[in-house]
Amino acid sequence: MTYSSPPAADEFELSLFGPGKGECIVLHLGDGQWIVVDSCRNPATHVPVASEYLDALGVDIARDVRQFIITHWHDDHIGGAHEFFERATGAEFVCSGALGNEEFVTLLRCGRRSLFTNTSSGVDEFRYILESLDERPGSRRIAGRGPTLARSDQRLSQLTHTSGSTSEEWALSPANATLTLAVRAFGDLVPDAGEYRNRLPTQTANELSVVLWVRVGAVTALLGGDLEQSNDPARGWTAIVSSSRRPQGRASVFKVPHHGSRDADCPDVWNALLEPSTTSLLTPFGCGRLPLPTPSDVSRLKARSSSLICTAPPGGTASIRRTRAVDRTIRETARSFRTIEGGTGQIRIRAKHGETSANLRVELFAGAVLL
Amino acid sequence: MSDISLTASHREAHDVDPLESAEAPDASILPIPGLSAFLRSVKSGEAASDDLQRVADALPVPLPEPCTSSFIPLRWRPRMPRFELLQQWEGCVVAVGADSFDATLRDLTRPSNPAERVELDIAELSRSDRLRLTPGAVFYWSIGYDTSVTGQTSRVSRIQIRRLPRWTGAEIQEARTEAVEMLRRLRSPE
Repeated sequence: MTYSSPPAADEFELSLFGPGKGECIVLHLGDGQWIVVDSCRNPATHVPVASEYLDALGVDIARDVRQFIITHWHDDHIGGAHEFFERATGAEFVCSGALGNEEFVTLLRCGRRSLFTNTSSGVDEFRYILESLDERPGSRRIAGRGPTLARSDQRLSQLTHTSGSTSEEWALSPANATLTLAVRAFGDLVPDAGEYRNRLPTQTANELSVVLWVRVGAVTALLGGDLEQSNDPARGWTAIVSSSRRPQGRASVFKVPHHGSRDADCPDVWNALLEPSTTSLLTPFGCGRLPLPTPSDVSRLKARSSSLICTAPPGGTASIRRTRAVDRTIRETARSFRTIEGGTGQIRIRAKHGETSANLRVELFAGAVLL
Repeated sequence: MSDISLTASHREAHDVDPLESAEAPDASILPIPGLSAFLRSVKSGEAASDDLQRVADALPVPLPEPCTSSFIPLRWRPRMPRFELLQQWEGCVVAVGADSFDATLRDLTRPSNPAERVELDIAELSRSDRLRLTPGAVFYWSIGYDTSVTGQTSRVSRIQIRRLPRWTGAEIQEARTEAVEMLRRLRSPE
Protein backbone atom coordinates (compact mmCIF):
# COMPACT_ATOMS: atom_id res chain seq x y z
CA MET A 1 0.00 0.00 0.00
CA THR A 2 1.45 3.35 -0.99
CA TYR A 3 0.66 6.90 0.13
CA SER A 4 -1.57 7.54 -2.86
CA SER A 5 -3.52 4.26 -2.69
CA PRO A 6 -7.11 5.11 -1.80
CA PRO A 7 -8.88 3.08 0.87
CA ALA A 8 -11.02 0.15 -0.26
CA ALA A 9 -14.79 0.57 -0.41
CA ASP A 10 -15.11 -1.37 2.85
CA GLU A 11 -12.33 0.46 4.64
CA PHE A 12 -12.50 3.25 7.19
CA GLU A 13 -9.80 5.90 7.10
CA LEU A 14 -8.94 8.77 9.39
CA SER A 15 -6.11 11.06 8.34
CA LEU A 16 -4.96 13.90 10.60
CA PHE A 17 -2.82 16.72 9.16
CA GLY A 18 -1.04 19.40 11.17
CA PRO A 19 1.81 21.62 10.01
CA GLY A 20 2.22 23.59 13.26
CA LYS A 21 -0.48 26.15 12.68
CA GLY A 22 -3.57 24.38 11.55
CA GLU A 23 -5.39 21.14 11.66
CA CYS A 24 -7.43 19.11 9.21
CA ILE A 25 -9.03 15.66 9.40
CA VAL A 26 -10.05 13.64 6.37
CA LEU A 27 -12.40 10.67 6.95
CA HIS A 28 -13.44 7.90 4.60
CA LEU A 29 -16.60 6.23 5.89
CA GLY A 30 -16.86 3.67 3.10
CA ASP A 31 -18.03 3.34 -0.53
CA GLY A 32 -16.10 6.45 -1.56
CA GLN A 33 -17.93 8.74 0.89
CA TRP A 34 -15.65 11.32 2.49
CA ILE A 35 -15.96 13.86 5.27
CA VAL A 36 -13.50 16.70 5.81
CA VAL A 37 -13.23 18.31 9.24
CA ASP A 38 -11.51 21.72 9.47
CA SER A 39 -8.93 23.07 7.06
CA CYS A 40 -5.33 24.21 6.92
CA ARG A 41 -2.91 24.96 4.15
CA ASN A 42 0.30 23.19 3.29
CA PRO A 43 2.87 25.91 4.18
CA ALA A 44 5.05 24.88 1.24
CA THR A 45 2.38 25.02 -1.47
CA HIS A 46 -0.31 27.15 0.23
CA VAL A 47 -2.89 24.67 -1.05
CA PRO A 48 -5.48 23.29 1.42
CA VAL A 49 -4.10 19.96 2.64
CA ALA A 50 -7.44 18.19 2.11
CA SER A 51 -7.43 19.16 -1.56
CA GLU A 52 -3.86 17.97 -2.02
CA TYR A 53 -4.45 14.66 -0.31
CA LEU A 54 -7.76 13.82 -1.96
CA ASP A 55 -6.31 14.78 -5.35
CA ALA A 56 -3.36 12.46 -4.69
CA LEU A 57 -5.81 9.63 -3.98
CA GLY A 58 -7.76 10.40 -7.14
CA VAL A 59 -10.93 11.34 -5.26
CA ASP A 60 -13.52 13.46 -7.06
CA ILE A 61 -13.89 16.22 -4.44
CA ALA A 62 -17.04 17.71 -5.97
CA ARG A 63 -18.85 14.38 -6.01
CA ASP A 64 -17.42 12.33 -3.15
CA VAL A 65 -17.06 14.77 -0.24
CA ARG A 66 -20.44 14.55 1.47
CA GLN A 67 -19.75 16.88 4.39
CA PHE A 68 -17.39 19.70 5.18
CA ILE A 69 -17.35 20.48 8.89
CA ILE A 70 -15.70 23.46 10.53
CA THR A 71 -15.46 22.78 14.27
CA HIS A 72 -14.86 26.43 15.11
CA TRP A 73 -13.66 29.55 13.40
CA HIS A 74 -10.20 30.03 14.84
CA ASP A 75 -7.48 30.75 12.30
CA ASP A 76 -5.71 27.46 12.84
CA HIS A 77 -8.79 25.42 11.87
CA ILE A 78 -10.04 27.36 8.90
CA GLY A 79 -7.05 28.21 6.68
CA GLY A 80 -8.01 27.61 3.05
CA ALA A 81 -11.51 26.45 4.03
CA HIS A 82 -13.22 28.57 1.42
CA GLU A 83 -10.87 27.36 -1.32
CA PHE A 84 -11.65 23.76 -0.43
CA PHE A 85 -15.38 24.38 -0.16
CA GLU A 86 -15.41 25.94 -3.64
CA ARG A 87 -14.35 22.52 -4.94
CA ALA A 88 -16.61 20.48 -2.66
CA THR A 89 -19.72 21.60 -4.47
CA GLY A 90 -21.77 18.60 -3.36
CA ALA A 91 -20.88 18.88 0.31
CA GLU A 92 -23.15 19.84 3.15
CA PHE A 93 -21.53 22.58 5.21
CA VAL A 94 -21.67 21.99 8.96
CA CYS A 95 -20.46 24.40 11.61
CA SER A 96 -20.92 25.12 15.28
CA GLY A 97 -24.46 26.06 16.28
CA ALA A 98 -22.89 29.07 17.96
CA LEU A 99 -22.19 30.58 14.54
CA GLY A 100 -25.75 30.82 13.26
CA ASN A 101 -26.73 34.02 15.02
CA GLU A 102 -27.15 37.52 13.70
CA GLU A 103 -24.25 38.95 15.70
CA PHE A 104 -21.79 36.52 14.14
CA VAL A 105 -23.01 37.15 10.60
CA THR A 106 -22.86 40.92 11.25
CA LEU A 107 -19.22 40.44 12.25
CA LEU A 108 -18.64 38.59 8.97
CA ARG A 109 -20.28 41.38 6.99
CA CYS A 110 -18.03 43.89 8.76
CA GLY A 111 -15.12 41.78 7.53
CA ARG A 112 -16.10 42.69 3.98
CA ARG A 113 -15.36 46.30 4.86
CA SER A 114 -12.13 45.76 6.79
CA LEU A 115 -9.99 46.78 3.77
CA PHE A 116 -7.33 44.18 4.32
CA THR A 117 -6.07 42.19 1.42
CA ASN A 118 -3.10 40.32 2.83
CA THR A 119 -3.96 39.63 6.43
CA SER A 120 -7.01 37.50 6.06
CA SER A 121 -8.51 35.78 9.04
CA GLY A 122 -11.10 33.22 10.02
CA VAL A 123 -13.67 35.98 9.57
CA ASP A 124 -12.86 36.20 5.86
CA GLU A 125 -12.85 32.43 5.33
CA PHE A 126 -16.25 32.07 6.98
CA ARG A 127 -17.69 35.01 5.11
CA TYR A 128 -16.58 33.58 1.76
CA ILE A 129 -18.14 30.22 2.64
CA LEU A 130 -21.47 31.79 3.57
CA GLU A 131 -21.39 33.86 0.38
CA SER A 132 -20.74 30.67 -1.59
CA LEU A 133 -23.66 28.98 0.15
CA ASP A 134 -25.82 31.99 -0.57
CA GLU A 135 -25.08 31.67 -4.29
CA ARG A 136 -25.17 27.87 -4.41
CA PRO A 137 -28.38 26.14 -5.46
CA GLY A 138 -29.88 23.75 -2.90
CA SER A 139 -28.05 20.44 -2.89
CA ARG A 140 -28.66 17.32 -0.85
CA ARG A 141 -29.29 19.53 2.11
CA ILE A 142 -31.90 19.91 4.70
CA ALA A 143 -34.30 22.81 4.22
CA GLY A 144 -32.53 25.93 3.09
CA ARG A 145 -29.00 26.24 1.79
CA GLY A 146 -27.32 25.95 5.13
CA PRO A 147 -25.16 25.93 7.02
CA THR A 148 -26.16 22.99 9.19
CA LEU A 149 -25.72 24.18 12.75
CA ALA A 150 -24.29 21.45 14.95
CA ARG A 151 -25.10 21.25 18.65
CA SER A 152 -24.73 18.71 21.42
CA ASP A 153 -26.23 15.24 21.02
CA GLN A 154 -27.20 15.77 17.40
CA ARG A 155 -26.87 12.96 14.86
CA LEU A 156 -25.36 14.38 11.69
CA SER A 157 -25.49 11.27 9.51
CA GLN A 158 -26.22 7.57 9.49
CA LEU A 159 -25.26 5.28 6.60
CA THR A 160 -25.43 1.63 5.67
CA HIS A 161 -22.51 0.57 3.48
CA THR A 162 -22.37 -2.08 0.76
CA SER A 163 -20.22 -4.14 3.13
CA GLY A 164 -23.26 -4.40 5.41
CA SER A 165 -21.57 -2.29 8.07
CA THR A 166 -23.13 0.91 9.31
CA SER A 167 -21.63 4.24 10.22
CA GLU A 168 -22.93 7.15 12.21
CA GLU A 169 -21.68 10.57 13.03
CA TRP A 170 -22.73 12.72 15.98
CA ALA A 171 -22.01 16.18 17.23
CA LEU A 172 -21.43 16.13 21.00
CA SER A 173 -21.02 19.89 21.39
CA PRO A 174 -21.47 22.86 21.65
CA ALA A 175 -23.76 22.60 24.68
CA ASN A 176 -26.95 24.67 24.78
CA ALA A 177 -25.57 26.78 27.63
CA THR A 178 -22.68 27.79 25.38
CA LEU A 179 -24.91 28.92 22.53
CA THR A 180 -26.50 31.63 24.67
CA LEU A 181 -23.14 32.99 25.73
CA ALA A 182 -21.91 32.98 22.13
CA VAL A 183 -24.39 35.62 21.01
CA ARG A 184 -23.06 38.05 23.62
CA ALA A 185 -19.45 37.17 22.81
CA PHE A 186 -19.92 37.88 19.10
CA GLY A 187 -21.79 41.08 19.89
CA ASP A 188 -18.71 42.28 21.75
CA LEU A 189 -16.53 41.58 18.72
CA VAL A 190 -18.62 43.63 16.30
CA PRO A 191 -16.73 46.93 16.01
CA ASP A 192 -18.19 50.13 17.42
CA ALA A 193 -18.50 53.35 15.43
CA GLY A 194 -15.32 55.40 15.85
CA GLU A 195 -13.15 52.40 16.59
CA TYR A 196 -9.95 51.99 14.56
CA ARG A 197 -10.27 49.42 11.81
CA ASN A 198 -8.15 46.37 12.50
CA ARG A 199 -7.98 42.79 11.45
CA LEU A 200 -11.21 41.42 12.87
CA PRO A 201 -10.36 39.19 15.80
CA THR A 202 -11.29 35.53 16.14
CA GLN A 203 -11.12 35.59 19.90
CA THR A 204 -13.99 33.59 21.17
CA ALA A 205 -13.69 30.72 23.57
CA ASN A 206 -12.80 27.26 22.33
CA GLU A 207 -15.95 26.00 24.02
CA LEU A 208 -17.87 26.89 20.84
CA SER A 209 -16.03 24.06 19.13
CA VAL A 210 -17.85 21.06 17.71
CA VAL A 211 -16.78 17.67 19.09
CA LEU A 212 -17.54 14.74 16.79
CA TRP A 213 -18.24 11.09 17.47
CA VAL A 214 -17.69 8.98 14.36
CA ARG A 215 -18.38 5.24 14.37
CA VAL A 216 -17.69 3.10 11.32
CA GLY A 217 -18.29 -0.60 11.85
CA ALA A 218 -16.62 -1.53 15.12
CA VAL A 219 -14.19 1.39 15.20
CA THR A 220 -15.11 4.67 16.87
CA ALA A 221 -13.19 7.93 16.83
CA LEU A 222 -13.71 10.86 19.20
CA LEU A 223 -12.61 14.06 17.48
CA GLY A 224 -12.13 16.65 20.21
CA GLY A 225 -11.83 19.83 18.12
CA ASP A 226 -10.50 22.52 20.42
CA LEU A 227 -13.10 22.06 23.15
CA GLU A 228 -11.78 23.07 26.56
CA GLN A 229 -12.93 22.25 30.05
CA SER A 230 -15.27 24.66 31.85
CA ASN A 231 -16.04 25.42 35.47
CA ASP A 232 -19.72 25.31 34.52
CA PRO A 233 -20.85 21.64 34.42
CA ALA A 234 -23.36 22.55 31.71
CA ARG A 235 -20.55 23.49 29.34
CA GLY A 236 -17.26 22.08 28.05
CA TRP A 237 -16.23 18.45 28.39
CA THR A 238 -18.18 17.88 31.60
CA ALA A 239 -21.43 18.54 29.74
CA ILE A 240 -20.52 15.85 27.20
CA VAL A 241 -19.53 13.30 29.82
CA SER A 242 -22.73 13.84 31.82
CA SER A 243 -25.08 13.79 28.81
CA SER A 244 -27.52 10.88 28.72
CA ARG A 245 -28.46 11.54 25.08
CA ARG A 246 -25.06 11.06 23.49
CA PRO A 247 -24.28 7.76 21.73
CA GLN A 248 -23.08 5.09 24.10
CA GLY A 249 -19.89 3.12 23.71
CA ARG A 250 -16.23 4.01 23.82
CA ALA A 251 -13.87 5.32 21.23
CA SER A 252 -10.50 3.76 20.46
CA VAL A 253 -9.12 6.69 18.49
CA PHE A 254 -8.96 10.12 20.14
CA LYS A 255 -8.06 13.35 18.40
CA VAL A 256 -6.85 15.15 21.50
CA PRO A 257 -8.51 18.58 21.90
CA HIS A 258 -6.67 21.87 21.69
CA HIS A 259 -3.23 20.48 20.88
CA GLY A 260 -3.01 18.63 24.19
CA SER A 261 -3.24 21.71 26.41
CA ARG A 262 -4.09 21.33 30.09
CA ASP A 263 -7.10 23.65 29.61
CA ALA A 264 -8.72 20.99 27.48
CA ASP A 265 -7.96 18.09 29.80
CA CYS A 266 -10.86 16.35 31.49
CA PRO A 267 -9.92 13.07 33.22
CA ASP A 268 -13.54 11.88 33.07
CA VAL A 269 -13.36 11.77 29.28
CA TRP A 270 -10.75 9.03 29.51
CA ASN A 271 -12.90 7.07 31.95
CA ALA A 272 -16.29 7.50 30.30
CA LEU A 273 -15.73 7.92 26.55
CA LEU A 274 -12.50 6.16 25.67
CA GLU A 275 -11.27 2.58 25.65
CA PRO A 276 -8.37 1.75 27.96
CA SER A 277 -6.13 1.18 24.94
CA THR A 278 -6.72 4.40 23.07
CA THR A 279 -4.63 5.64 20.19
CA SER A 280 -4.31 9.38 20.79
CA LEU A 281 -3.53 11.77 17.96
CA LEU A 282 -2.72 15.44 18.14
CA THR A 283 -1.35 18.38 16.20
CA PRO A 284 1.17 20.90 17.54
CA PHE A 285 0.40 24.61 17.84
CA GLY A 286 3.18 27.15 17.49
CA CYS A 287 1.22 30.42 17.64
CA GLY A 288 0.79 30.69 21.40
CA ARG A 289 3.19 32.07 23.95
CA LEU A 290 4.21 28.48 24.70
CA PRO A 291 4.29 25.95 21.87
CA LEU A 292 1.78 23.16 22.46
CA PRO A 293 1.89 20.44 23.55
CA THR A 294 4.31 21.26 26.36
CA PRO A 295 6.55 18.50 27.76
CA SER A 296 4.17 18.07 30.71
CA ASP A 297 1.21 17.75 28.32
CA VAL A 298 3.05 15.00 26.48
CA SER A 299 3.79 13.15 29.74
CA ARG A 300 0.16 13.37 30.87
CA LEU A 301 -1.23 12.15 27.54
CA LYS A 302 1.31 9.34 27.19
CA ALA A 303 0.35 8.02 30.59
CA ARG A 304 -3.28 7.70 29.48
CA SER A 305 -2.87 6.43 25.92
CA SER A 306 -1.65 3.17 24.48
CA SER A 307 0.13 5.30 21.89
CA LEU A 308 0.44 9.05 21.40
CA ILE A 309 1.21 10.36 17.93
CA CYS A 310 1.79 13.96 16.85
CA THR A 311 1.75 15.25 13.27
CA ALA A 312 5.04 17.11 13.90
CA PRO A 313 7.60 17.20 16.69
CA PRO A 314 6.30 19.44 19.51
CA GLY A 315 8.31 22.54 20.38
CA GLY A 316 8.43 24.38 17.11
CA THR A 317 10.47 24.02 13.97
CA ALA A 318 13.89 25.19 12.83
CA SER A 319 14.31 28.92 12.29
CA ILE A 320 14.53 30.37 8.81
CA ARG A 321 18.06 31.45 7.92
CA ARG A 322 18.35 35.03 6.74
CA THR A 323 21.29 37.39 6.21
CA ARG A 324 23.58 38.02 9.17
CA ALA A 325 22.41 41.62 9.45
CA VAL A 326 18.75 40.58 9.60
CA ASP A 327 19.37 37.73 12.04
CA ARG A 328 21.38 40.07 14.30
CA THR A 329 18.62 42.69 14.28
CA ILE A 330 15.99 40.07 15.10
CA ARG A 331 18.07 38.94 18.09
CA GLU A 332 18.53 42.52 19.26
CA THR A 333 14.88 43.53 18.81
CA ALA A 334 12.69 40.54 19.62
CA ARG A 335 12.21 38.97 23.03
CA SER A 336 11.33 35.72 21.32
CA PHE A 337 11.08 34.72 17.69
CA ARG A 338 10.26 31.38 16.15
CA THR A 339 8.89 29.67 13.09
CA ILE A 340 5.35 28.45 13.56
CA GLU A 341 4.92 26.07 10.69
CA GLY A 342 7.01 23.16 9.54
CA GLY A 343 6.26 20.30 7.19
CA THR A 344 2.71 19.04 6.90
CA GLY A 345 2.81 15.83 8.92
CA GLN A 346 0.09 13.26 8.47
CA ILE A 347 -1.15 10.39 10.62
CA ARG A 348 -3.24 7.90 8.69
CA ILE A 349 -5.32 5.17 10.32
CA ARG A 350 -7.17 2.55 8.31
CA ALA A 351 -9.34 -0.41 9.30
CA LYS A 352 -11.63 -2.70 7.33
CA HIS A 353 -15.29 -2.38 8.27
CA GLY A 354 -15.38 -5.74 10.04
CA GLU A 355 -12.18 -5.16 11.99
CA THR A 356 -11.93 -4.03 15.59
CA SER A 357 -9.72 -1.39 17.12
CA ALA A 358 -7.05 -4.06 17.66
CA ASN A 359 -6.53 -4.16 13.88
CA LEU A 360 -5.91 -0.49 13.21
CA ARG A 361 -3.16 0.15 10.67
CA VAL A 362 -1.32 3.33 11.57
CA GLU A 363 1.01 5.07 9.10
CA LEU A 364 3.04 8.23 9.65
CA PHE A 365 4.07 10.61 6.87
CA ALA A 366 6.19 13.74 6.51
CA GLY A 367 7.47 14.28 10.00
CA ALA A 368 4.65 12.82 12.11
CA VAL A 369 6.15 11.27 15.23
CA LEU A 370 5.29 8.67 17.84
CA LEU A 371 5.86 10.36 21.18
CA MET B 1 10.88 82.44 -7.59
CA SER B 2 12.13 82.26 -4.05
CA ASP B 3 15.76 81.61 -3.40
CA ILE B 4 17.13 79.55 -0.61
CA SER B 5 20.46 79.52 1.13
CA LEU B 6 23.09 76.86 1.01
CA THR B 7 24.32 76.60 4.57
CA ALA B 8 27.61 75.19 5.74
CA SER B 9 25.82 72.17 7.17
CA HIS B 10 24.18 71.47 3.81
CA ARG B 11 27.52 71.60 2.11
CA GLU B 12 29.02 69.16 4.56
CA ALA B 13 26.50 66.65 3.39
CA HIS B 14 28.18 66.57 -0.04
CA ASP B 15 31.14 64.70 1.31
CA VAL B 16 32.19 63.19 -2.01
CA ASP B 17 31.85 66.34 -4.02
CA PRO B 18 35.19 67.50 -5.50
CA LEU B 19 34.08 71.05 -4.89
CA GLU B 20 34.36 70.35 -1.19
CA SER B 21 38.10 70.11 -1.53
CA ALA B 22 38.24 73.67 -2.78
CA GLU B 23 38.97 76.44 -0.38
CA ALA B 24 35.81 77.15 1.58
CA PRO B 25 34.50 80.69 1.54
CA ASP B 26 34.42 82.68 4.73
CA ALA B 27 30.71 83.22 4.72
CA SER B 28 28.65 80.44 6.25
CA ILE B 29 25.60 81.32 4.20
CA LEU B 30 25.76 81.58 0.41
CA PRO B 31 22.62 82.82 -1.34
CA ILE B 32 22.31 81.08 -4.72
CA PRO B 33 19.65 82.47 -7.04
CA GLY B 34 17.40 79.83 -8.59
CA LEU B 35 18.63 76.97 -6.39
CA SER B 36 15.18 76.02 -5.11
CA ALA B 37 13.74 75.81 -8.62
CA PHE B 38 16.74 73.80 -9.71
CA LEU B 39 16.31 71.33 -6.85
CA ARG B 40 12.65 70.95 -7.73
CA SER B 41 13.50 70.19 -11.35
CA VAL B 42 16.13 67.65 -10.30
CA LYS B 43 13.59 65.95 -8.05
CA SER B 44 11.04 65.77 -10.81
CA GLY B 45 13.64 64.58 -13.33
CA GLU B 46 13.20 67.65 -15.54
CA ALA B 47 16.49 69.41 -14.85
CA ALA B 48 17.63 71.31 -17.91
CA SER B 49 21.12 72.35 -18.79
CA ASP B 50 20.36 76.09 -18.42
CA ASP B 51 19.12 75.42 -14.86
CA LEU B 52 22.40 73.73 -14.12
CA GLN B 53 24.39 76.51 -15.70
CA ARG B 54 22.54 79.13 -13.69
CA VAL B 55 23.35 77.36 -10.44
CA ALA B 56 26.91 76.71 -11.52
CA ASP B 57 27.39 80.41 -12.26
CA ALA B 58 26.32 81.27 -8.76
CA LEU B 59 28.78 78.95 -7.09
CA PRO B 60 31.93 80.50 -5.63
CA VAL B 61 34.16 77.88 -7.32
CA PRO B 62 34.29 76.83 -10.99
CA LEU B 63 32.76 73.59 -12.22
CA PRO B 64 35.33 70.93 -13.11
CA GLU B 65 34.15 70.92 -16.73
CA PRO B 66 31.27 72.49 -18.65
CA CYS B 67 27.99 70.63 -18.45
CA THR B 68 25.87 71.02 -21.55
CA SER B 69 23.84 67.84 -21.51
CA SER B 70 20.58 67.43 -19.66
CA PHE B 71 22.15 64.48 -17.82
CA ILE B 72 22.94 65.51 -14.25
CA PRO B 73 26.17 64.01 -12.88
CA LEU B 74 25.63 62.04 -9.71
CA ARG B 75 27.86 64.36 -7.71
CA TRP B 76 25.45 67.20 -8.34
CA ARG B 77 22.36 65.46 -7.11
CA PRO B 78 21.36 66.63 -3.65
CA ARG B 79 21.77 63.80 -1.17
CA MET B 80 18.53 62.47 0.29
CA PRO B 81 18.07 60.13 3.24
CA ARG B 82 17.92 56.57 1.95
CA PHE B 83 16.58 53.29 3.34
CA GLU B 84 17.81 50.00 1.93
CA LEU B 85 15.23 47.38 2.86
CA LEU B 86 16.65 43.99 3.79
CA GLN B 87 13.63 42.32 5.31
CA GLN B 88 9.98 43.14 5.86
CA TRP B 89 7.10 41.35 7.55
CA GLU B 90 3.43 42.08 7.95
CA GLY B 91 2.45 41.34 11.52
CA CYS B 92 -0.80 40.95 13.34
CA VAL B 93 -0.99 41.54 17.08
CA VAL B 94 -2.45 38.57 18.92
CA ALA B 95 -1.94 39.65 22.54
CA VAL B 96 -0.80 42.77 24.40
CA GLY B 97 1.01 42.52 27.73
CA ALA B 98 2.29 45.12 30.20
CA ASP B 99 5.43 45.99 28.26
CA SER B 100 5.44 43.64 25.30
CA PHE B 101 3.13 42.27 22.65
CA ASP B 102 2.86 39.00 20.74
CA ALA B 103 2.26 38.84 17.04
CA THR B 104 2.24 36.49 14.12
CA LEU B 105 4.33 37.46 11.11
CA ARG B 106 4.02 36.92 7.40
CA ASP B 107 7.20 37.34 5.39
CA LEU B 108 6.72 39.98 2.70
CA THR B 109 10.32 39.68 1.48
CA ARG B 110 9.98 35.96 0.77
CA PRO B 111 6.26 35.20 0.80
CA SER B 112 6.90 31.47 0.47
CA ASN B 113 8.42 31.40 3.96
CA PRO B 114 6.22 29.88 6.69
CA ALA B 115 4.52 32.01 9.33
CA GLU B 116 6.52 33.15 12.35
CA ARG B 117 5.74 34.36 15.82
CA VAL B 118 7.42 37.18 17.70
CA GLU B 119 7.30 38.92 21.05
CA LEU B 120 8.35 42.58 20.83
CA ASP B 121 8.77 45.38 23.34
CA ILE B 122 6.05 48.03 23.27
CA ALA B 123 8.93 50.51 23.53
CA GLU B 124 9.77 49.67 19.90
CA LEU B 125 6.63 51.55 18.83
CA SER B 126 6.20 55.29 18.42
CA ARG B 127 4.05 57.07 21.00
CA SER B 128 1.13 57.40 18.59
CA ASP B 129 1.33 53.76 17.52
CA ARG B 130 1.17 52.64 21.15
CA LEU B 131 -2.36 54.09 21.30
CA ARG B 132 -3.34 51.79 18.45
CA LEU B 133 -1.78 48.67 19.90
CA THR B 134 -4.59 46.20 20.33
CA PRO B 135 -5.22 42.58 19.31
CA GLY B 136 -5.93 42.59 15.60
CA ALA B 137 -3.73 45.63 14.86
CA VAL B 138 -1.70 45.09 11.70
CA PHE B 139 1.86 46.42 11.51
CA TYR B 140 4.88 46.35 9.27
CA TRP B 141 8.28 45.42 10.63
CA SER B 142 11.14 46.50 8.40
CA ILE B 143 14.84 45.85 8.85
CA GLY B 144 17.38 47.63 6.68
CA TYR B 145 20.18 50.12 6.34
CA ASP B 146 19.35 53.76 6.86
CA THR B 147 21.67 56.27 5.15
CA SER B 148 21.35 59.79 6.46
CA VAL B 149 21.87 63.04 4.52
CA THR B 150 25.38 63.13 5.96
CA GLY B 151 26.12 59.74 4.41
CA GLN B 152 26.20 57.85 7.67
CA THR B 153 24.76 54.36 7.51
CA SER B 154 23.15 52.47 10.34
CA ARG B 155 21.26 49.20 10.65
CA VAL B 156 17.71 49.87 11.84
CA SER B 157 14.49 48.10 12.82
CA ARG B 158 11.25 50.00 12.21
CA ILE B 159 7.83 48.93 13.39
CA GLN B 160 4.84 50.90 12.18
CA ILE B 161 1.20 50.13 12.79
CA ARG B 162 -0.95 50.29 9.69
CA ARG B 163 -3.43 53.16 9.83
CA LEU B 164 -6.88 52.63 8.46
CA PRO B 165 -10.03 54.73 8.70
CA ARG B 166 -12.25 54.39 11.74
CA TRP B 167 -15.49 52.44 11.54
CA THR B 168 -18.56 54.55 10.92
CA GLY B 169 -22.02 53.94 12.36
CA ALA B 170 -23.44 53.73 8.85
CA GLU B 171 -21.06 50.94 7.89
CA ILE B 172 -21.96 48.88 10.92
CA GLN B 173 -25.67 49.41 10.40
CA GLU B 174 -25.26 48.37 6.78
CA ALA B 175 -23.46 45.19 7.91
CA ARG B 176 -26.34 44.41 10.30
CA THR B 177 -28.90 44.81 7.56
CA GLU B 178 -26.90 42.57 5.23
CA ALA B 179 -26.58 39.94 7.98
CA VAL B 180 -30.34 39.79 8.52
CA GLU B 181 -30.92 39.47 4.77
CA MET B 182 -28.29 36.79 4.35
CA LEU B 183 -29.61 34.69 7.24
CA ARG B 184 -33.14 34.97 5.85
CA ARG B 185 -31.99 33.70 2.45
CA LEU B 186 -29.89 30.87 3.90
CA ARG B 187 -32.71 29.66 6.13
CA SER B 188 -35.45 29.79 3.53
CA PRO B 189 -36.28 26.49 1.78
CA GLU B 190 -35.88 26.61 -1.99
